[in-house]
Amino acid sequence: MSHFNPVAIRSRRQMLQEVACGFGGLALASLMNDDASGSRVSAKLTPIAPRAKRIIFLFMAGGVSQVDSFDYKPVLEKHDGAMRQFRDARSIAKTGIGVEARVMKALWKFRQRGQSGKWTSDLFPEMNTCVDKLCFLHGLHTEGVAHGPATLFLHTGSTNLLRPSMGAWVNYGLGSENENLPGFVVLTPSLGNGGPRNYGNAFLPAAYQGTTIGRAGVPAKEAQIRHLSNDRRDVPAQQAQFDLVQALNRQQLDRHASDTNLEAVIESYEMAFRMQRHAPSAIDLADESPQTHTMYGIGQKETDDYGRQCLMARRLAESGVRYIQVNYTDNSNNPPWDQHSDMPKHAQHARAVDKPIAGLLRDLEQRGLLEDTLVWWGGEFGRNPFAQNNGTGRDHNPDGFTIWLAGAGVKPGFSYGATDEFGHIAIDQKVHMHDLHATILHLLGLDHLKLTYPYAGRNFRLTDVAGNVVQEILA
Amino acid sequence: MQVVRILLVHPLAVWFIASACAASEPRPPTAEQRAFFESKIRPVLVEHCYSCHSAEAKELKGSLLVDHRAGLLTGGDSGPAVVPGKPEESLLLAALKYESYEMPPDGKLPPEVIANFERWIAMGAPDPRIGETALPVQEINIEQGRQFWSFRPIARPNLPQVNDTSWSHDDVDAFLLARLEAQGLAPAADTDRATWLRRVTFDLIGLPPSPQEIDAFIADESPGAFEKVVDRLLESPHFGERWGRHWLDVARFAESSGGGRSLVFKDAWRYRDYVIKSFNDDKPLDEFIIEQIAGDLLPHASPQEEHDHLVATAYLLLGAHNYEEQDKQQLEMDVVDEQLDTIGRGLLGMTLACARCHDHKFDPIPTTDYYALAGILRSTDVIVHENVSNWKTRPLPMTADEEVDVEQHEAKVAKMQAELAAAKKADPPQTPTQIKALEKKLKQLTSSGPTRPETMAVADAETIADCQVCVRGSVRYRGPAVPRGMLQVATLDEPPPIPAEESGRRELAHWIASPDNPLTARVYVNRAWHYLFGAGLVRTLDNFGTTGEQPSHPELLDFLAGRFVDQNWSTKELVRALVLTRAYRMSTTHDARAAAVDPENRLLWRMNTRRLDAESLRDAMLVVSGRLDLAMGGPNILDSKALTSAGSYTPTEYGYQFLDFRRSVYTPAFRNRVHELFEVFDFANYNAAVAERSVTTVAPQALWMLNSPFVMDQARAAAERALVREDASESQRVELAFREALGRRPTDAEAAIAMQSIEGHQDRVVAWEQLFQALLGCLDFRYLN
Repeated sequence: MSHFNPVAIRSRRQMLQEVACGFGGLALASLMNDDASGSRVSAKLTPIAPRAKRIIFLFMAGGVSQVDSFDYKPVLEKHDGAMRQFRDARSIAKTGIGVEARVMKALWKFRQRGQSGKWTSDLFPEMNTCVDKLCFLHGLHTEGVAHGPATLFLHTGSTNLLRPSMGAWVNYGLGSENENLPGFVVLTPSLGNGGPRNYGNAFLPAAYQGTTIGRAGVPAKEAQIRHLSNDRRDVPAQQAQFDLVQALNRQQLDRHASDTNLEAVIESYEMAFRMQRHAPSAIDLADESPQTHTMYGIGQKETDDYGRQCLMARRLAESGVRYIQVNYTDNSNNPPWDQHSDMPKHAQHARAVDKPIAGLLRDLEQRGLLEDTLVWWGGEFGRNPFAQNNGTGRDHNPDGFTIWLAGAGVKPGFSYGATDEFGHIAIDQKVHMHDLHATILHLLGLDHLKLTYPYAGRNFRLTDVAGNVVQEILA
Repeated sequence: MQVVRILLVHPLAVWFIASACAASEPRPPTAEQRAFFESKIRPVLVEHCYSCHSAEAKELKGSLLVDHRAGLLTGGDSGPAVVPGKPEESLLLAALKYESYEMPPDGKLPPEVIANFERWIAMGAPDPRIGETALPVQEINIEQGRQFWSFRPIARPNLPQVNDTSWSHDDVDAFLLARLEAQGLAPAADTDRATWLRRVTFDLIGLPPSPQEIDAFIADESPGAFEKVVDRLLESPHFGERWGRHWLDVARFAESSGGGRSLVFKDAWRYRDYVIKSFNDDKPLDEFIIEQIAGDLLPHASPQEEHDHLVATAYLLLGAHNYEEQDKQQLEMDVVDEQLDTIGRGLLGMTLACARCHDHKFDPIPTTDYYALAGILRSTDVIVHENVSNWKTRPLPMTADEEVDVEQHEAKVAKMQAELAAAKKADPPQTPTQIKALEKKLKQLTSSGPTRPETMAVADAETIADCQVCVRGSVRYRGPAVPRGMLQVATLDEPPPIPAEESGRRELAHWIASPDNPLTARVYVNRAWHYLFGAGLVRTLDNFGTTGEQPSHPELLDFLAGRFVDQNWSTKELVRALVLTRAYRMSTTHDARAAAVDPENRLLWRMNTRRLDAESLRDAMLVVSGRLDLAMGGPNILDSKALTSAGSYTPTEYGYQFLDFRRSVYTPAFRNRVHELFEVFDFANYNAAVAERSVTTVAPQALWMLNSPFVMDQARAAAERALVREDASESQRVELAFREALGRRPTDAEAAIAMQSIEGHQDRVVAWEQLFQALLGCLDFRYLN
């Protein structure tokens, strides 16, 4: 019955391993139920050799316009202003038929960059200097025309149903490398468009949910793990408080011998106190050099906030956190990358993230971290190559858009997949969001078909009943 | 468990076979046709299709077989693959052309190959491969399914014989004891009275007993002392708050829609209050269920009853939905799916949602059953469509006095609106200041007066229709409509007929809440058992299917379910009996021998130690700090500023500060902004029906206990309260602090630790704050023994 018994007995050791932040990777144990030895060596989990030990996901909330950034479509210039029939996703969802709309050319000039000669626009000048490190996927497509459904789909593989987020799956599968830090950290998340569900554990044990640091709308400078520090008491008083509660706990435990639940509580206090001492340094940027700060754009008004997040991400990566999500978002229903009526405003958002991201890539590379860290850049969908309501903006486009990956396990300076000649619908070497999920899990050494959890009578997985690993982009 | 791989071909496929066969008797192909097939068609099928669509396929995809004629004509999940003579209606051709599916997936075939297929279908798809499929076709066998324990009628078991005839207090005990004795085990000794009182008080009202209540109970030597306590607690209005909260978990109650763009629901508190009141009134569970599914369709004896009946149906509307989903058909089916999941797992212990895309893989639930139920819910109005859609609301009945008040107010508003309109057109024109003043007055008037009360509620839809199957769950591929109906396997008698002009919700409600339904009563008494003993007799509380757990005590479960129905589905009678059992009185003492035989305590040789859940933890802290506000009912979303957000369609929960000190059951239940304590201590996930909350022990809980302002504030308030009693000595204060927080006196060692800690501080308030904080965070506060 082992596959279908959700209330299988847990060993004391397993339980204690769940304590803290979910280090330990319970999935290893559950995936190896057949293995009587109970060995927890990750190589046995799956024959896939992990190429990446961790991932940094640079989430561009909303949709970055692919035809204004990385997906070069000269034909747009030629037909600029012409009315054409398009299979617009929103209109198809609502009415079943497409729309006639005005073609709108890229607002930024495209040029060839780097050794690879990649055509990119002037929108992201700093990232453009890194194109030879990047692996572009131009044939992305996903589900959900509106932000809520598409954002949830990107994070959980479902537009509506309650499912664990990808970070929670990875945390469940691999655990943290550092017993003082959680395995899944989310920097400054939004409360909107699914909010906590985007980093939630859903039906996985709570230990695998994302630990948030800061939140959208509050400067990253003030971002902290909640209740990690205590402003009202000095360190000796904190120590006294900890000693007092543990002294009582030990007395009480003695009266209820052999209760692993109670032992776990005592252990959780020990763990918390260790975290209190060690975790703050993981996000403290004070001992980074001025050069590093500059490289990330910290101290410059436009880039300070995202720069801090990116640098924190690098520190967390160094400390062994598995899944780090760096959000560029806010709390509104219409996230930042959402220029329905004002495409030129893309420039403002580009300036905020461009330098920090390039800084992060260079920093990871110079520290050798890019070799075992995967970086994923992208939003929940792209934008249309035609004007919305014939104005000056572009509507959402889930049918064809661009993301890039960089670092561990993917081909650098490589492009894969294509949209049609207008840059609208993915037609060649298409990669569905489920495929991207499967591929990223694969890079982390997890087989998306085997990373499952029993709930409500069956086994669930991140990729539902879909997902193919995109072999062609693997280095 | 060995998973037997059987190909479960869709029952619809069988339907298709029947119709397809009736339509065209296969004629043997001519020699010319055969040559065409063998040279142009078969090799392509073998090379490009058989690996996924034949008897040899490692894993058959889409239930489609193309290795014989009937397979193509029958088709798979999406319907017939080939319609002889009609290339334009043949899915196979559309898939080859990459117009629907994209087959083969590794690359489109050359145009000339596709043209051959088109020709072949046009000539009638002559196919010599006539014969039965090589794969076993198996339909779900409902009759066989009914043999599974949870679908069998609820039995009336005889009381078992026990050796120790003095132990039992209630028949329940005999069932437990018989099993223990069979294993050579004995039940644990009774726990002490203070521990029992703390246990039963938290279990029934979710609050700790006061030191006075503890003293009174310990001193009460009368024979009915235990019963007296239980009756007092059952009569307490806080009983409804506690047991209502259990129901709210299962009803995935929340005050905002969550999903993508989270919208604050319209007066969801009305449903919460209805639930609390129902438990306080001990409304029979069958009635309670019927009201929630079909209250709007019931006769109403009074305006109050009409009010309750309408409010009850919010049950169907409280799901977490992406109301901004642009594909409204998809949204509607997602809403139905959510309702079926909630009803299925919450009321029936069935994972119905599994049958949305295909026959249930483990339980005898064909996908047609899912759409039979879906038709009932689709025939119900629940959504108002807009770009961002909305739930349905309905006006509530008002008393005559309320009606008069509202009408008077509306008349006043109308009058002032007329004045304003006149002022704007007046000649000579009024000054902007005068107009502005009028506008301001009008605004004040409209926002201050009585309004017509509304509730989230459903109604039967204008169009009543059976629901078409969504093939593989897709709203784009529709199969035949399935007559509205019930879950067959759990319908042991004749299914109730559904009138053509009604949704069938009334029938559904009565079917669920029927004594003949083998699931409902079992699921409910099992959940009550879980709430009181810490683990259900069936531990998979929301899964009574084959992938769930078997009951540890099947006869006991049936005995309880039968008695529950006999006692008019009374929750209070059920709870009363359970907490007065001898079993409930056992201590949590460890016994090495028993633990060796039954390490998980399935046989209940001792009481389980249980953790206080999030709301009891918060409420108990507020009791110790003296701040708990026991006001009952009504709206509790306080911060009006949080209710306005520029650019959004409705109020939003963003930025909400949880500042009130009312009981946790009234804490605003926002899906995208959860109270921190609830988040950290495993409160029920607001997004789905939760029968069993997870119980995790993680470091963020300890961080919260050590550093959160909430805990420190409560500890500070408790300290200040303790120090007001100037006549008490420090050691007397310590004793009282333990009694208030833990419901018992400190042990000598604990008292010594406490005294030492207090003496170590110069500042007495700080000293006491730290002691109280430690008490709020210690094991005996956080766990029930």
